[in-house]
Amino acid sequence: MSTFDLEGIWREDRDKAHRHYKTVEGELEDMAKKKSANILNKIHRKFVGEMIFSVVVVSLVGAGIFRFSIDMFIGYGVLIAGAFYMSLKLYLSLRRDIKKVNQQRVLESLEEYIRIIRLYIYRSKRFVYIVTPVAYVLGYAMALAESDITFTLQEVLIVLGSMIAFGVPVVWLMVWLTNKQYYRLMYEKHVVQLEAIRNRLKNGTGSEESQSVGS
Amino acid sequence: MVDFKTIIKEHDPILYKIGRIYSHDSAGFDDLYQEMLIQVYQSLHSFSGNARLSTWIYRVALNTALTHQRNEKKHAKVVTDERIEERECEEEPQKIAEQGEQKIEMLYKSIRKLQPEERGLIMLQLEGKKYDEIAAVIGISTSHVGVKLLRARKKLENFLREDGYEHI
Repeated sequence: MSTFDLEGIWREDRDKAHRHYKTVEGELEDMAKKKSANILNKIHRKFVGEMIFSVVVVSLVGAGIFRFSIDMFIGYGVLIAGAFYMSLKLYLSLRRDIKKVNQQRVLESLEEYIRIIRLYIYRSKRFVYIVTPVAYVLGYAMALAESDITFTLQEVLIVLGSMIAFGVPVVWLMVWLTNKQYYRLMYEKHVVQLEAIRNRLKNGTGSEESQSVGS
Repeated sequence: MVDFKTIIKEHDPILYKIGRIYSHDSAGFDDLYQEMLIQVYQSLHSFSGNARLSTWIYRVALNTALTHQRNEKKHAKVVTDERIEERECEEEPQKIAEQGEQKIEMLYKSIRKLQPEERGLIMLQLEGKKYDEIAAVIGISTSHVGVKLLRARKKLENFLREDGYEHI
């Protein structure tokens, strides 16, 4: 009868087990790229969805304004075109920076993606801070210009006062909803996901004991 | 700097061995290995750091293997117990030359005869894990580990004796 040293034989297989990694190294790189690509694709789809939705809303509002006043429609069109251009420019800059990221090392690429997407969110929020009050004021001004009323100085002051009194909370609410809620739901949660993965990878093998096979 | 590749490089032997004991042929091994890799990669964000990473990887990989087994049974796959290296052997085990490679194959073959949960227990014991870590991986109490391990070990030794080995 033959002897069978269970633990000894199990330990002998260890070298083969360690060599196995070499055969799958390439697959890991593909997987790392796919994972990041999934999150980035989600961001891309959300941006496209956002654009389509904006076009629809803007078109509906534009149609209403067009019926009201062609001059206002032109002013509105110029504003909207400018806003779309800036949004698209911001997004294309994001895509360009992301494409440049070296995807070979997952942790480094994660750090880069997080930095780039956070920068995109910061710039987009800053854009909202600037555009929203400007659009409000210009819209108000255009509406007043369209009216045939000639204002006295006192009436101008009253109109300005009401614009500010009404506008400040409305603009604040719109900025808050966009920057605090909308961006958080649309984009920041993906950054949080990426940050969580990065933190796990960083902490993962901190003070791990090395694997030992057998006793 | 640590990244996923480093994590897998350090822990690949775990996936390799689990793949071998829960699959019967090269194709099955490749399928299972891929699934485990994907599960570990996709689940990394859920690793809370309150257990050792190796323990967590064992848990994820074993759960994946057990699910894979259940799915294989569901689809009633007919598998033959081929060697992963596709080395053919037609002689009875006790007549095979006492080469290390043959013994490893015999060990894997015998482990595969155990129940799915028992395979995991035996593997962890052979890996030198203590009862509390085995319990954490399998998800049973430490006292249960002892009882189940004893049973599984006896079964394994019986399988090996049937194949002509003694002094286990």
